[in-house]
Amino acid sequence: MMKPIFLYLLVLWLLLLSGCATTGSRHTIKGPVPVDKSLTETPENQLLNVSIEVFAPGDLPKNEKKATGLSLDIRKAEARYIPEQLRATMESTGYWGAVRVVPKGMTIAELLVSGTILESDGQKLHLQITAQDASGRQWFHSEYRDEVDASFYQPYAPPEEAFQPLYNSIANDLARFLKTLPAEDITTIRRVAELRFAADIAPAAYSGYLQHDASGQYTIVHLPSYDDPMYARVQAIQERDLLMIDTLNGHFDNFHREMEQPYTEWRKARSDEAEKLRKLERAALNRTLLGVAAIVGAVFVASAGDGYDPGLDALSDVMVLGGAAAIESGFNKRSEAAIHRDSIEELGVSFSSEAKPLVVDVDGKTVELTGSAETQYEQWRLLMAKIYSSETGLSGTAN
Amino acid sequence: MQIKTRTKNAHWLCKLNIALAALLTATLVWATSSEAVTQLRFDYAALQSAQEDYRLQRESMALEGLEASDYAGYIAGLQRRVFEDCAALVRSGSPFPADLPCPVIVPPVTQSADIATRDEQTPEEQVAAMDAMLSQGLGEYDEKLLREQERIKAATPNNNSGGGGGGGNGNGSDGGASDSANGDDGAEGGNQTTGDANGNNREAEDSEGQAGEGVAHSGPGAGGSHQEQPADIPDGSDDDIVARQLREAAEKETDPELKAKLWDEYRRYKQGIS
Repeated sequence: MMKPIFLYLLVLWLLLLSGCATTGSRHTIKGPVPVDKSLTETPENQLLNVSIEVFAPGDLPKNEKKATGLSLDIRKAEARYIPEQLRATMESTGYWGAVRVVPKGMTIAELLVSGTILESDGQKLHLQITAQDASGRQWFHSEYRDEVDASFYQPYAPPEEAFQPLYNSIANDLARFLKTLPAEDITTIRRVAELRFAADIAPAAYSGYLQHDASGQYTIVHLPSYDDPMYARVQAIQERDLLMIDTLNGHFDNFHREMEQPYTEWRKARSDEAEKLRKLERAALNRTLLGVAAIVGAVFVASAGDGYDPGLDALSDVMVLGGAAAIESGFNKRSEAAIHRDSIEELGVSFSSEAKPLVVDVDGKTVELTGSAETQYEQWRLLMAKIYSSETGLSGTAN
Repeated sequence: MQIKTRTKNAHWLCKLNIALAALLTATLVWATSSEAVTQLRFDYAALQSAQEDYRLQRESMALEGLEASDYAGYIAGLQRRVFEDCAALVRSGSPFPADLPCPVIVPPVTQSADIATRDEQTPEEQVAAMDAMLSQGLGEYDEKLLREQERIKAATPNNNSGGGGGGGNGNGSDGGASDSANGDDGAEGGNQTTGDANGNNREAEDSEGQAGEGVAHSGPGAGGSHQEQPADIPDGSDDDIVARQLREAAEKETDPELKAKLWDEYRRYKQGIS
């Protein structure tokens, strides 16, 4: 039987090990966050290309009140909109090569950023972000939370993105991790990404160039020679793959442009209504409590007197009447609040109906383009297998 | 001795005749191919100029109805002439000048090899043939992506707005431009043309992506159904080079008028040769 001390040490060791692999943290954004921009020009061969996956839309709040006016259609639109915001932010820093938004699971990225929307209602944005490079190393898995005041959207649409500090914070964390990597690590990440693509397109030729362990880490076993004609063909196909993703980004860009105005307006209107709703609910509660307190006080005053003091009787009556009026006023405020809740609901329905066709459209174009690319790549895989077989006399299929 | 000298002279005369004949043939071949190239240059320049003018006028809605139809018919005729010039150049066996569109318009004629021929090929020849197939496939894929990018550009709302939010400092964004269609201006080259796909090209959008020759903006009313073809068009299995290129040009065309005229030209060409 294992002694408790060994069990304890094992658990401790596992915890330390997981700590090495992942940097997890929570960031609550407070105030402006300046974006970290590269002060020097990074050599092209030291730039990592970044793919930001379309985010997971996450779940809507279980609390009915919090979920008012939110919908999965809105979340789906945000799951495509938010990565575009992050892309623009990262692109402006100068730390990265090409930064692209990609559909889920479609590409082998040098650095893959994926995310889940944990909360988003116009005033709050809470994201979970994971960054992992091509070699399988996880850079971090963190949560970012930002909140803006309803006044941010007043009186006009803001000149900048409401949650820009949050995007800056993510971009800064990515840049911070990047700066800890030695140049050879960046070279390795780029090579691993290339070799993974090569192994995908010509598995017979290149699947043995990488080792993939159970933890998901890739290690380079050997490199292709500089004059390897097969590798030149793979690179030619990879260039088309990148070009295809760039083309795909055109659709995401257009989606972002079309979404920008209605999304900002929805967030503005929703925040405004939510703020009014909060104030009314607070007022309703205060008045109801005040009314109850007045009536309780009246009962106390009435019971404290001997029944013959007309002054106290009058006070008690006034307090009862005042309390009743306050409670009624509280109910009225609740009715007003209900109107604002309905208004939030309507805003959500209206924006959903605007966003849904845009999401369907961009998804349709994505599927069309990636589907046709996959068909094309399948043909190239067959051709590469034949070329490999003709050149080497070996089987063109991977063992 | 005299007889021997005469025989020697006759021998030299004969050699001279053969040399002259060879020279004459070579000059004739050179002149023919040079003429074909000149003709192609002339027709291609006319086609480019007409296409550009046509698309400009269509985009500015200055060309409608019968006038548009006539102009489209003229362009389709020019297109056919360019294809025929290219085919003539193929027949003459002379190489294509690099600045002319034939490498795109007319794929290598050696591409289709029957099974018996393949069996006789050495591994090197087989690899070369497959490399050619790969290059052709890559070129076609480039063109497809280029067309898609053109469509995206045409569908872009507020082309001048410059895109996304950018990475400000929390107080003000100093925005990343985010246009996406990438600097692949040279995609007319067909094979091996990739654009700058490795990145950093998203910001270089200000270069207007010169769209090669036949694949420009879609005109009014052009939808995504440009691959559709009229019902009377045959399957094209017996198309020669010119017919095939006309068919492809019609399929790729996004302007409805020009598309219809290219199909007309295709029909006329097929009727003319069958």
